[in-house]
Amino acid sequence: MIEILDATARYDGKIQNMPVKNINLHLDGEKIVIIGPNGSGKTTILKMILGLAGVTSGSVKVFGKDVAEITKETRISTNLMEVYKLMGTDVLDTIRIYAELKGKHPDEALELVREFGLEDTLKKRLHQLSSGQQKIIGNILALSFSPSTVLLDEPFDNVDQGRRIKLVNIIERTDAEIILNTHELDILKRLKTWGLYFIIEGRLFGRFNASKADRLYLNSGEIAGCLTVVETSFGKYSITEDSGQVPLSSARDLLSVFDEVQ
Amino acid sequence: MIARYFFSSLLRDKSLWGWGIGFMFFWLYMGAFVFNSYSGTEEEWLFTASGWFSIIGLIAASIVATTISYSIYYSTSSLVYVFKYTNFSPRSYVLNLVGGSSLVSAVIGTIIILFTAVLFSIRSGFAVVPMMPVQAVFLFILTGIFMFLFSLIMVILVNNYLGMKNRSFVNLLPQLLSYIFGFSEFGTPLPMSVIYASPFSDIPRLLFMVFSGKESPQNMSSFTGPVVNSYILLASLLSWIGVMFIISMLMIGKIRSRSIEEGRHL
Repeated sequence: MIEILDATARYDGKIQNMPVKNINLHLDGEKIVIIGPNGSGKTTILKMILGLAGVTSGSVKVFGKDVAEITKETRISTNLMEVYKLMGTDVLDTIRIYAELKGKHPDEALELVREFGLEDTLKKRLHQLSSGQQKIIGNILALSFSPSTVLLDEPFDNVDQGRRIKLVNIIERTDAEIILNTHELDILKRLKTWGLYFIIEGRLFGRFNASKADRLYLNSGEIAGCLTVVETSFGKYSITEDSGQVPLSSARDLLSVFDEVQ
Repeated sequence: MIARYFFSSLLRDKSLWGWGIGFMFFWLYMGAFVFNSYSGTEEEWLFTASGWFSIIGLIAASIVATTISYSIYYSTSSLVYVFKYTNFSPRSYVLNLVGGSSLVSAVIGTIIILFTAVLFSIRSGFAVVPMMPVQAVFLFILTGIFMFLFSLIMVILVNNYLGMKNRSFVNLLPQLLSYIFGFSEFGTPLPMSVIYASPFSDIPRLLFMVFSGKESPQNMSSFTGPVVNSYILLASLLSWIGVMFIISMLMIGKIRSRSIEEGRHL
């Protein structure tokens, strides 16, 4: 269970991720997908929940507890690889370490490694893997050890088609609540029962229903009776249902829809 | 026990073997065969070997510390995550890594002891062997613990408070201090108060003592001056370890996540 109330965050450090501004998000057992272009703040939302990004105002609660106060909460997991670099170990030892730290058995994760045909990566260190292999190992670590909440950041990036289909099937049949970040609109065709948000320039817009995604349209300007108004640095847009300028389902990613509306 | 993974990860680190073992072998070889052209008595050779062993032992331990520093820098996000979202506590982390560092230091220490004995025995024609080999390994373990805690505190200070631009300097600080204190022993002798107070003086002098079986003199280059009390040196080193252990326990839970890419860019 995740509750983000009017939270603003900035990833700490000199190389700034896009800050997220006044985010509100409530998740209680559902699966949601957040769609936004690269650099829009998708990852920062996950980092806020994980305690990796400083929350400058508002609050972020996980299972009713402020994220700053959380310890030994084993029900959350993520595919962000930076949290799996504890000791520079190989893939096999990384799986064993995180299973041990979660109080679980590594078999479930090792079975998934076999299912994805990545047995040859087990003796390699994480930095020796290709970005696609790293992504799948991250997804495996996120989806193993019976989590209640899974945070997936661009889980399909650099993943080949065969493994992508396998991964979507596994994600769909997972019991846990899920936040899935992606810049790909076409994935919505597979996630029809999920909640849907859009994120542009650090602002979250939603909630919509993914099953209705092919009925959503983007329009330039503010239209009366629209579902939501999207304010960006490059103009004001409206999202409408059933009719409008450009159907969201016609584009592969969100930025191209904005280009079309222009 | 997470310590075994840390131990195995460190032992598979090629730079640790290259710099911590290969480079140290080179210097011990230079010490035995190039910088020593005289024929001395068995006791003189034992003292000479002990001198080189003490400095090389300190520098090898500091190379382990630098390796550990880099490893901690790359794991700040992981640490924040595991302290929140796994059963791992900051206390367990410090204890496990103290364990891992001890084992690695024992392995490296044993190799350095063997290198020193073999090289100086071949060069001198005498059996130049450490007088207290078990204590020598134990001392390497203490040195490893000290270096790990020192690195950990330095990394947290830089990561949380001083800024990443100081990272490279601080990573190399254990080595810099080891070179400064180690090689200063060959020049003007340090005052007794500094010798007792500085862990970077305590360690080589204790290493000298366990190899030679004799307490080190104040002046290590001419082997003259009053001898240094090894019990005080050991008490000083243990005090440093104790204090740093408490500080690291207090600080590790406050470590902040830093982007790995940020470190690479600086």
